[in-house]
Amino acid sequence: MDRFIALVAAGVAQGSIAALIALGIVLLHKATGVVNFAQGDLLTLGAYLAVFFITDHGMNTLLGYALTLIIAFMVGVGIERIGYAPLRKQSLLAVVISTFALALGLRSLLILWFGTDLRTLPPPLGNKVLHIGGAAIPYQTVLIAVVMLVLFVALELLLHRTSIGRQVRALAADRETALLQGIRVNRLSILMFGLSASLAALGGLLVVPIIPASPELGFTLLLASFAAVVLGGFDNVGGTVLAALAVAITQQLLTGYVNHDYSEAYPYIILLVVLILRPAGLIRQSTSVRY
Amino acid sequence: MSATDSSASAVQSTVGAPDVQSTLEASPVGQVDDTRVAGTGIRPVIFARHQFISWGLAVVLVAIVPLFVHGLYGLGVAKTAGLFAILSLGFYYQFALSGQFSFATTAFYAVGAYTSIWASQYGGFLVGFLAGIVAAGLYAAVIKLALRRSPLIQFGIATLAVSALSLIILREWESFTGGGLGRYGVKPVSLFGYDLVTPTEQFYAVAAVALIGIFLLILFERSPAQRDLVFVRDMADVARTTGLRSSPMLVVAFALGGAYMGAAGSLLAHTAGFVDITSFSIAISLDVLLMVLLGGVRSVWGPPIGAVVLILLPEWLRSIADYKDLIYAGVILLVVLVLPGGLVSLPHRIRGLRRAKARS
Repeated sequence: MDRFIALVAAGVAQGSIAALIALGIVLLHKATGVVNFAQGDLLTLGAYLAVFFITDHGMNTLLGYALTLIIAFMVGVGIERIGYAPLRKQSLLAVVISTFALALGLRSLLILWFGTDLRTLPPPLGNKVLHIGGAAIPYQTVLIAVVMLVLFVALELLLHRTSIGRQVRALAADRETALLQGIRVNRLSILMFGLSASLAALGGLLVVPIIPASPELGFTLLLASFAAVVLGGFDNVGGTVLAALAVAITQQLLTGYVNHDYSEAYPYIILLVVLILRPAGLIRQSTSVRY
Repeated sequence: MSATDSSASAVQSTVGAPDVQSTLEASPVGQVDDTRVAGTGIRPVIFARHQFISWGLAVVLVAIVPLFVHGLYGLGVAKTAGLFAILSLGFYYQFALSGQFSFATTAFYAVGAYTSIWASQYGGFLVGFLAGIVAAGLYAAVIKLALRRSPLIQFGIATLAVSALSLIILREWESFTGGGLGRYGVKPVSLFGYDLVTPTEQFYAVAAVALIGIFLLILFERSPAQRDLVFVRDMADVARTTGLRSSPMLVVAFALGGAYMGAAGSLLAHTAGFVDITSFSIAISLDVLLMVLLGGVRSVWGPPIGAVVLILLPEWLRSIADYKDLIYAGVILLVVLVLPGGLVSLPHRIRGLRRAKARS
């Protein structure tokens, strides 16, 4: 039983990180229709910045976190200005490719800045563990899950209960009409790019005490959250969080009880099986195509 | 003479002009299942002139490469460029001609290589080569069939999963791939009992396959099948109303691309003589995507030119090798932003600019 609890806890931690990245992807997709492939490298950026401020420069933990999030926000704004704004009139694929190029550029800048060594950060709550039913769960794991849940609720409220949320949904529905209604579409899409970059960086600074930062960190994690985003339907925040948790917990249980050689393969198998059975993900969305 | 010349180019420019395409591409950005490829439009191939003459020129160009490039290293780089040219030709079928955004390149490359090594034990290089092509093509067809109803982005992410999954399976399947140890002593490329083992011969072998690949692609480009495929790519629903069966066409195009990639994998195995799991990575899929974008998606010459440039770029810029990826990123961004047609469209763009200047 304690093994089961430990496996589920590990799955929740892993799923929460995937969900944090996925929240950023869904938020951006909801507002602008862009699938941002730079999300993983923004997470790496967050991890490295936190290490840079807190370990290398001995900064106060909260101040370091705040600076990290602010810088990530600005990088997100930069991505919007360089990779999205000039391409808005072109096809979706052009934007996807430009986010790819920006991700590659960001990753190589990080390698130039920090090298390829593994870097880590002491957990902010110390190395204590929580005992539940005989299983030891690190506080950092609990923290990640709590932060993810709080952000999920906050994002749902933001999107469905505030004026900004209504504007975002109007922007997503039809950019021109939103503009005619007096919504500042440019400012809004900049805000959304910044916010989703901050979400990714938050994932990075939370994950770096558990998984050491390396240049490939974000891209590896990105694959798992793509599985969650696809399964949860691109526009469904709740579905995405559920899918992220379900995939990670299933992966941990299969690894623990079935075969650990294929541990990394399980998310891909789940993703492919679901896509074969339901081509547009578990939760179907309706879109229209104009010719 | 000059009058007919200018009228011919005028017709060409109207057909290829951006305003014609912009009506085809006037699509809202926020759609997941928008299958249109950046910067492409329906372009009647009869206006793509001199394709066979260009091909002849390319043959001559390839034939004289060993006069200028010497040694194991230089010819090795040239051979790598040839392999990536074949990979990106395969990607042209999948991406440019049928609008399928795929990251499974490296999976087909690896399947081609390992199948070829396995089959060549039973009948020499040619048997292995053909087996690699068929296996990779079939693998691609199965994947596309299974995922045929997935929209563009979902399909892209699924192929990312296919790549990662294939590499894991190949790593664990030790009796077939040798696992982490790899496969040593692969039979060399041989033709009619003659083994091609020197760097020059190996380069010619790879380049010959690349040139044959381009030739077949040109034939395909000039066939009615290409026009049907482009129709399906741009307007799948409309194409279906005219009686075209869109799904089988996309499967065949994807499989053709996979077969090219399998050929490249087989050549990699038999020219290097050694293959292990680190020979393949998802980075290869990304590189091939970048090559095709850089070269251009509107012409058969785009992919090979992009491959050659992107392989040679780090060689020319050896002193700033650390900045390689940064330069890649900058180049791709520049191409997407200012030159959506890729490097091949450069002469056309310059001509257009000059004409505009002459008019003003």
